[in-house]
Amino acid sequence: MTDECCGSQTPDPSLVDNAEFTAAIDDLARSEKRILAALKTPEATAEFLADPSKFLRRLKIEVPAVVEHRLRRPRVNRAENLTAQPIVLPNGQTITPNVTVRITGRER
Amino acid sequence: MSGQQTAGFDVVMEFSEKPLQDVLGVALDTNNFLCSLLGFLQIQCQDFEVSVSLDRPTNPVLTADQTNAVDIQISGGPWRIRLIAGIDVDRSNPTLHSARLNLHDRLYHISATLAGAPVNTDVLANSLGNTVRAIALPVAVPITAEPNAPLVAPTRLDVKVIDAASGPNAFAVCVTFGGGTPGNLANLTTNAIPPGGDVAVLMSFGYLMRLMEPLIEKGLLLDPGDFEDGHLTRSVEFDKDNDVFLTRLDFSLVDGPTPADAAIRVRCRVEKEGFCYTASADFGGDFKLGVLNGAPHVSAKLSDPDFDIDVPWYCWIGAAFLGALLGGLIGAILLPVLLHLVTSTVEDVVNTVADTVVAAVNAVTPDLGGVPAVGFALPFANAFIDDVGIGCRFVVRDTAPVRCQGTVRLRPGQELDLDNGRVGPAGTDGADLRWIGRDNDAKFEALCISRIADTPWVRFDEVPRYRLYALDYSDRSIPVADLGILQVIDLPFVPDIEMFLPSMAVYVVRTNERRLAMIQVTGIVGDAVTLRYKTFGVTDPTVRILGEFACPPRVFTAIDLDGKLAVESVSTRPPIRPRRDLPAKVAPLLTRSAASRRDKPRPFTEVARLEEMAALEGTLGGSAEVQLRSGDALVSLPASELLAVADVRQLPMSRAISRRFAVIAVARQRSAVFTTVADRISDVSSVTWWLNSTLLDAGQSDATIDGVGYKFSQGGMQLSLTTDSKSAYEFELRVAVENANANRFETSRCIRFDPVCRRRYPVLSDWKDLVGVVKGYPTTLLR
Repeated sequence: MTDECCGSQTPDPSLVDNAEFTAAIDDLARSEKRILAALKTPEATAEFLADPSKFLRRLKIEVPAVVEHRLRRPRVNRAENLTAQPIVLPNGQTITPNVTVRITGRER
Repeated sequence: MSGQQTAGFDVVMEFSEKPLQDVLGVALDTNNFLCSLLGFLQIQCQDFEVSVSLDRPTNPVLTADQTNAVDIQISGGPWRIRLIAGIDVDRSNPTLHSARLNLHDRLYHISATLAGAPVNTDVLANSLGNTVRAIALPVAVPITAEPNAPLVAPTRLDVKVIDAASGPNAFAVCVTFGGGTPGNLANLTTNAIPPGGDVAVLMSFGYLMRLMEPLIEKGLLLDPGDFEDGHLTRSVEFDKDNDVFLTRLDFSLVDGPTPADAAIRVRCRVEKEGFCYTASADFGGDFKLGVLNGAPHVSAKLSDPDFDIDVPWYCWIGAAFLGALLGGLIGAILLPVLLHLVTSTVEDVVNTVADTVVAAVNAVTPDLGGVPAVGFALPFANAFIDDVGIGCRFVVRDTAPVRCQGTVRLRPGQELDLDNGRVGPAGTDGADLRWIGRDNDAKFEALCISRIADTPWVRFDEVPRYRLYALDYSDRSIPVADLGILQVIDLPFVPDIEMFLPSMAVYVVRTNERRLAMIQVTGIVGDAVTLRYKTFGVTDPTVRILGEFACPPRVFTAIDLDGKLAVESVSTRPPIRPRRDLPAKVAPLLTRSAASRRDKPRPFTEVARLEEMAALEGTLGGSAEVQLRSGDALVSLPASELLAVADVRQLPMSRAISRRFAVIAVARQRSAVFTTVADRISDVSSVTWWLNSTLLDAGQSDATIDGVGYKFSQGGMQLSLTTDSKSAYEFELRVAVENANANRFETSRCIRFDPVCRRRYPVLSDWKDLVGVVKGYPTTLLR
C-alpha cells in the first residue's frame, strides 16, 4: 500500500525482492568502503543525493544497468526530499530547518 | 542571576511605596478616619497629604526587634503627624492570612506638631493601638491547611519590608502554595519591580515547573514521573503508533543583560527509526513573557530545528522511496510538539498563577478596627523572566463618592458647570470653566472663584480623591498647547500622517461650590474640545454600601475532559489572523502613498511612540477619537481601531491557533461582608441595616425573610451575611447611619446572589491535537 502524501508505509516488495536488483546492490556493496570514504564531506553527500549514478561513475564504480534503470523511475528518491524549506508558523513566524544527511553503510 | 528573586518562595508580590501610600491615603479618606484621628489631637479636620517611606528610620533609632517598619507622615496646613509602625501577617484566622499595619503590637513611634509645636499624642496612640488596632493592607489570602493542598491553593503568607541597599524599596508579600515550603525572607533584599510599574508578581521557576509537570506529562502523553524538575527522566516512546521517541526535554532559565532579555529555554529531541532511515530532530526556543491586552502571553523566539537523517547508500539508490520523510517529520512530529509547548505549557501556567494570585489577594479583604480594607486592581503592564515576573500598575479602589461624571463637548465661548455637568453659553450661572479662543489661542479659563491645579497624572480613572487635596490651585488658564500636540507620525500603512495626540493630562478644578473635579481632554475636532470630567463631593454627606458575594479562588490550571469533572460547555476559540485590511475610513489619507501595509522595521522612536499609544489605550478608551491628517484630508479614527492597524507586533502563537475552553460551574461563597462607607459624616453613633425592608435586629443572628434564611452579625460599619438560597435572586439592602446629632443618612442597594459561579478554563490538550494545524505538511510518518 502506498500513500501519495507520505511515501510507502511498508517497503515495496517489488523493490526489495527483485533478485536482479538485489544482486546488483550486492555487487555495488563490494565498493562500499570507497563509496563511504568519498562521502565524508557535505558536498559529496549532496552530489550523491542529487545524482547517485554520476557520483558512482566519478568514483569509477560501474553502475549496473538495473540500478541505472531504477534511478530513472518516476518515484526515485530526489535530493529535494531531504532539503528543508522555511516553515511559516500560524502567527507568521518563520523557522528554517537545518538538515544534515549522513549516508551510511549496509551494516546498519 | 536569574531565579533568585523569589528567595525560595513560590510567588512574591512586591509593592513600591506608592501603592502603600494610596492604600493609606484612601483609608484615611474613608469614613472620616483621619478626622477622627485629628479629633484626638484637638486639630480641626481638613485636607491632607500622606507620604510613606520604607527606608528604615534612623531618627528615632529602632531596636533590632522593631522590624518591617513603615514611616508615615500625614500633614495638612499647620499640622503634621508621624507614625512608624510595623507590617506583619495576621494568622489569627487559620483560613485567612492577611497583611496588616499592626498598630496594636508594632506602633514603634508616634509624634505630632501643630504650627511647629509638639502635641501630646497619648490619646491618639491609645486609640490607634487599642481601638483601631491595625490597618488592613489589601493582601489577604485564603489559606488551605490540608497537607495535600492543591498546587494553586495558598498555604502560607509572609511579608517583608525590603529596605534596599541600592535602588527603590519595596514591600514584599510572599505566598507559599500546596506542595511548596516557605523560602527565606532574609534573601529578599532587592526590588524587582520593573521601571514604570508599581507592583511585580514574581513566580519562582521551581513553582512554575511544579505546575507544569502534570500538564507536560499529560500533553505529551508521558507517564507520571517521566518529567521532573524541568527535565525528562528517561527516553520515552511518546508516539507508539509511529515508534517515535522523545529523548530530551529540558526547561531552564537563561540570563540576559536585563530581566527583559532573560527567557525560559526549552530544548527537545525526538528520534525515530524507520525502514531505511534513522532520524532525529532537535528543536525548541527561548520563551519570553509579554503582556497583551492585559493578559500575560508567551512570545517564543524559536530556534531553527536541526534534523539529522541517516540513510544507507543502497536505500537511496532505490531500495525504498523516502519521498516525504522530512515533511512527515516536520508535519507529524515537530510542528505539533513545538506548538503544544509554546501554547499550552508556559503561557497557561503563567496565566493561571497570575490569575490565582490576583484573585486570591482580592477575594477577601478584611476590615480591621473599623477601618475598611482598601481594595485594588493590578492591570498587568509588562512581564519578564528572572524568575518569572509580571509588572503591574497598582490601581487603588477609591471609596469616595462621585457626585457627577461624564463627557461633554464644548464649542468656543461655552461654559461648563462641573457641579452638575451642565453646558451653557457665556454667563451660565454657576459655571466653573469656559472654553475660549480658536486655533493656537484656544484655552480653558477658570471662572469666578473656581481654581485649577496641574497634576502629573494621565490615567484619569485611577486617581483617588485624597490625592486632590494637596494640589496647588490657582486662578489660571489651560492653553490648547498643553492639551495635546499635532505631530507627524510614520504609521505602518502610510508615512507622514499628522496625528493629534492628546496629552491626556489630568487637571483638577476646585469648583465654585468647593467640590473637586478632575478633567481630561480626549480630543479636539475643529474648534470644539471633548472633555471628560468627574466631580467628587467633598462637602456632601453620603452613605454607600460596599461588598458582594464572591466566587471562590480558582483551583485548576486547565480542564481535563476525562469525564471526572462536570463541564457545562466547551467552546472553540477560532484562530486570530493578523489584520491586513485598512479601515475604509482612512482612504482619503492614502493619496500620497500606496495603500499597503508596511511590514518593514520602523525606526525605534516611532515604535516607541506606537507603544506609548498602546499603553494609553485603556485611558483613551474605544470612544476616544484620534485625528489623522494628510494634506487637506482629515479623518478621525477610534484609538482602539488605529492601534489595531498600527500594531505590527508578532501575534502570540496561542492566539494564532484555535483553542478549546470549558466552562465549569462552582459554588459561589454564601457569606459576604457588606461595609457602609459614610463620607463627610462625623461622629457616627449608630448603623442600622434592613433587608427587603425587614430590620436586622442587632440582638438577633438569624432570620427568614421572604422565604430565604439568613444568618447575620453586625459590628461597626459592617454586616456579615450568609444566605441559604438555592437559586439566584436579588434583595434590597438598606443602611441608615446616624451621627451624634441624630442626623440620619440612608442608602440602599440591590444585591444579587447567584449560587453558581461560572469559570472558563483552557481544555487540557495533547500534542497530537495540533497535527495538521500547519497546512501543507504530511501528517503521517514513513515507517
